[in-house]
Amino acid sequence: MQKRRIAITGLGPLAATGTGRDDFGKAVLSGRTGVKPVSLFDVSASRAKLAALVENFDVGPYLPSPKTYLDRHSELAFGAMSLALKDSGIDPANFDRSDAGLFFGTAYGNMETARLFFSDFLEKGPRFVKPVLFPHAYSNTTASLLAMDYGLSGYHVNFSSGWVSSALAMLQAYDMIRHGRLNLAFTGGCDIVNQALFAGLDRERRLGTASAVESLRGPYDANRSGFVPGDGAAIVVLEEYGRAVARGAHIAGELAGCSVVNSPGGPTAPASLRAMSSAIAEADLGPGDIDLVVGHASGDKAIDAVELEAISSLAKEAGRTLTAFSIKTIVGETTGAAGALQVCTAAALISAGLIPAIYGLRTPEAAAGVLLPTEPVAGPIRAVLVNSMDPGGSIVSFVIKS
Amino acid sequence: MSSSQPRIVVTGMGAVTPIGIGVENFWTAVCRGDQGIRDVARFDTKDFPFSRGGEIREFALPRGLRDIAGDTDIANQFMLAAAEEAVADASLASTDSFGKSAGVVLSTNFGGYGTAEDYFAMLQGRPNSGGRGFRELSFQVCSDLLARCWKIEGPSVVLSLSCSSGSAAIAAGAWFIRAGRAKVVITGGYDALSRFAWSGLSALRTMAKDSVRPFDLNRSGTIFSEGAGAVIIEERDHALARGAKIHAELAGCGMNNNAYHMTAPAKEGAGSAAAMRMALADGGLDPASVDHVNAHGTGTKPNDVTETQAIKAVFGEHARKIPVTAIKSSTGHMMGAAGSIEAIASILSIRDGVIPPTINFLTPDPECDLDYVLNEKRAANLTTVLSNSAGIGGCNAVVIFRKHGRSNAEA
Repeated sequence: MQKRRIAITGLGPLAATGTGRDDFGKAVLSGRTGVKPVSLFDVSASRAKLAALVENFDVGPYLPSPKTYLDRHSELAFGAMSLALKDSGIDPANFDRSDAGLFFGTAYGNMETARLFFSDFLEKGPRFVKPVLFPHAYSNTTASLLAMDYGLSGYHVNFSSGWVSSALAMLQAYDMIRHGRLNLAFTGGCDIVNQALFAGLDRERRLGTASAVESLRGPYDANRSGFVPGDGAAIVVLEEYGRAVARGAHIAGELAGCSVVNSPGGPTAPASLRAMSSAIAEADLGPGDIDLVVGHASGDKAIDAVELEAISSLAKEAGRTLTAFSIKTIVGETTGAAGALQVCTAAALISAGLIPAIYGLRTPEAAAGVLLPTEPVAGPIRAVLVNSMDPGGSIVSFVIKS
Repeated sequence: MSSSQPRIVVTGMGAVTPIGIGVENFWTAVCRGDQGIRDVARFDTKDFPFSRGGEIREFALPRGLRDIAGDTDIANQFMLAAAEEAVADASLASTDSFGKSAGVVLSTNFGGYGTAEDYFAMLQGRPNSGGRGFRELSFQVCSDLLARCWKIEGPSVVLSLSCSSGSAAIAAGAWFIRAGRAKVVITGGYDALSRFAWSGLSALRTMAKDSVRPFDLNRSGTIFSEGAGAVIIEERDHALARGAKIHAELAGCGMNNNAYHMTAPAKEGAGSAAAMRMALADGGLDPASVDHVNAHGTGTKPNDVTETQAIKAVFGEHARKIPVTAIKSSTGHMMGAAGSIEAIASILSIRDGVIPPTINFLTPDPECDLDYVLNEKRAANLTTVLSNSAGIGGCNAVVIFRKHGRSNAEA
């Protein structure tokens, strides 16, 4: 059976740098960072001090119906969904909801409400918990709320698969459209940073030690000390290509190939290479066709090196220099939402024909065949490779064609 | 349904349940009508409104898994143990490199949140808290564990779809096989009773104090329990080529959302009906070919009547001829594990020609008037069995199994 093609027809990114495709795109292209010293919660007990948080977000305008309570996680996701739907040009009153799937992913879900709910238990005992909070404490609460408000009664999945969650959500939607099961999918994910997450990552010594944005060292930097966590949400609308063209949709790119591999114990260069190569092959391309890699790299000492080594091997196969870029010093490491935000990034750069400098990159690691931009690079971008990884070893790669 | 969609079969099963650990132990117990509800001892239930649940007390992780498991939460231990039984059942362990083309797709409500309670307590400055369990906040740790155990290089995935999880893992897992991303997928559903889960579930007003009585007029709710089920699905050609024992075929599957309300089912079970239709269509199956429905049957007032309505809506006249059973009456509501364990019961029903009973039934409810298998198991020659699952947030997942060797033409 002829495999169908998948168009990206709507983007709804929401991160510390901005709300919606235009805002987000401008921030990425101009190198404006959303990283700041944390003020939303107490980090005095942590070594790390910086995060890229979404502050003062008013979800009101983005809600189809009023809510008495929403976890901040759900708020950001509602924002992203509304933005993506608008961006797609699909009339919310007029599309076949049973033909549309909702593919959502989140590493930590509504963990803040879970923590809040349980705090009453710890402080006062089981008789004093607030029942109304508990349905908002699940990993799948946000996906369910979206389905309810948007009447999405078709295929429904919530990936709770660590940092590759939104990437997996996009991959499964791509698979189902490709194999003729669906024509339209709302995909993506969300994760937020609360004190619990920040403190835990800090204790594990994963976070960078810069206390001021000026001393932040970027992904792939030889002096990196860890990553900066970030709030993030993105909904990406995927549609069967022919249908997208027929309705006159603006096509931001074609999701042309995906892959998912696992590397037991943690990501390795060979596993990362395998993931990238599979995605490239599935897109009917060769390594030499890749104009840009939007990397997973976040400033993590070990994993950035793993990815870089893999990209270097890919460059060797390609017989050309590959350019690798990362947004994670602009929007932070958004864990489960990262994959979807990286896809939004790929679309923004394809559209602009520009690869910005990596924010905070002062001393690029030496990697044969890999250009790590410290200055913007202009030129047509025809195919982008996007990598998403979980520290436990799960790796997802995408190829997006212009 | 596309005729080019690869056929998928079940080649391995594993079970950790309150009525038996190990598939055959579970199956003997559930056919006998055992009940796994007891006073919860793992934590003090003094101030809780409910003190009885399906707690598993006799569980110990097999020796060989203890090193790799470390101090991981008991929910993950349940999953690991069930997976090990399934892998052995599927004769995969002896195939050294099966991991290269294999995936893991699990699903859970709360994962290892029981251990994460300690981390929350530390953050809150509670005394005697060691701060353990931060890692458990990402459910991926469980899939990573299984992946390290069997060197899984295909998709390593965890879903969270509340109490539809076990069935959802199978349905989503099937899509990785259909898309060619794995030949074999270890699917699983798992959950454990923790103070976090118990305090929340008690507050939802869906629990009963004494027993689970699906379809009974005086039913008063469900009772939560714990455990894990593993169902290994495999591309049929791959299974045949390696001479694997085939338990049943996965004839169809589907998952959706009611898009209606966080905790109440859709009117007349519309969402559940849509999920059943999705699964039937997925397999190109005529509703009249279904011989038995293993119900979600939680024993709550709303579920049992809306599920009955949904079955009638989907099967029409044929509905009255389909024996229906709800094994949550025996096992309690195993949350994420329920769908996996009910899949296993569905498959064994086909194998043995026996439908396990819905126990604790005393008084018929005029609104629940299907042919339920009540209090005693029933012999039945079954070819095609449909299993329903649903969960908070309006999630539904449906899996359909068929006796291996049959095709749509014969069914």
